[in-house]
Amino acid sequence: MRIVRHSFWQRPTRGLAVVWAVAMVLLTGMLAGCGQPSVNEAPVSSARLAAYHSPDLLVLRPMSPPITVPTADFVAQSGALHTPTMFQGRWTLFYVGYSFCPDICPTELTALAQLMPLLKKALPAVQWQVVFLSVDPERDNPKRLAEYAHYFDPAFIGMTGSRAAIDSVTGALKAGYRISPHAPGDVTYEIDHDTGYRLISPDGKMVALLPSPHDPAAMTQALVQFFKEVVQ
Amino acid sequence: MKRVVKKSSGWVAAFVLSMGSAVAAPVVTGAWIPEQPPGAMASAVFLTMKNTSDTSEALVRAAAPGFKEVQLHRSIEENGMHKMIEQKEIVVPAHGETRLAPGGYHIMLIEPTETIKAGMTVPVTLYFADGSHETLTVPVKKRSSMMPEGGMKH
Repeated sequence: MRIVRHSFWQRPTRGLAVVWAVAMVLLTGMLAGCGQPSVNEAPVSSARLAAYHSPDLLVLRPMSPPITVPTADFVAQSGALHTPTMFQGRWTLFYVGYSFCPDICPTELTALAQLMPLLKKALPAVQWQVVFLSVDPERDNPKRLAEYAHYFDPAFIGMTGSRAAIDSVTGALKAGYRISPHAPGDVTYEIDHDTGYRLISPDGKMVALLPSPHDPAAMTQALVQFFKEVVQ
Repeated sequence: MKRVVKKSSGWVAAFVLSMGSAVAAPVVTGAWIPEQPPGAMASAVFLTMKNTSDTSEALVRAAAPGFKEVQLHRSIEENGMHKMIEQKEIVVPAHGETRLAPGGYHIMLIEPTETIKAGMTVPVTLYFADGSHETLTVPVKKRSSMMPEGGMKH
């Protein structure tokens, strides 16, 4: 008799617990998925971006109004990549250069590789991607670029494209570059290029510039503040 | 490691001075070459040159076997743009020092015949304006091991 009563009371309790747990999971999912878009999907509010005062403009300069990255086709070792769809679902740090570069590009890519673990720790909800765009498709093929970028961090994306695609994106983002005059067949020419990291939102807009020199700790602090006041 | 190199170079300097040699070539310390990604077509030599003499000196040329070309360069940054400018010479002022370091002066090594890896050494010969030359055995090191996380200070 006792046993029966016991089981009679326990069963509905267990059932309720299960219903409660399922409801909580659904609710959490709804909040994360529908009610409140995640930090990796939400478009950045132009008003909040315009109102943001960066504590140190030498580390992070907000871009207001933000610049929409134009539609263009690129190629990486993994295959074709298209702006701005390649920015969806994550936050991107975008850097232009070329693999023949012996000094600045490796220095900047090393700083980016040092920055990534700091950012992942400080902003754990944010999905990051680093894109290295080579403005030197004559010498940089996708395989060489992948080897080059992956040397610094296996998650880095190295890509290039046609001169028109490169110019469309670098022009819009004001990331200047200049190829030194050289004779046909000369493979040792240099390229002057912009040294900033560009922060691109999941909806494909450049929302900030991180100018050099690049100090990983200072950049982390600046991005935490930026996400707190503009994004999250 | 760095300190040991500096110290030994100090002894070299003392030795040269004690010899009463007329050679005023700068004392070179802390030379290293950053390991480059596979397939990279260019690398660099970084080092410090110290001039203990009363007259200014200059590095006018460098050579290294296993590279198609070796040039003297300086990276500069102007309005957020990085430029690399080939140098005819890199001056070391009297009683002064000149650092070849990431983001500044460097000896550019172009088109290696084989990929250079950390742990290897490269013989690099420096030619100075006074006609003297010196061959260094320069270690290849991982860039991350030489770049503190505090970042570059320009």
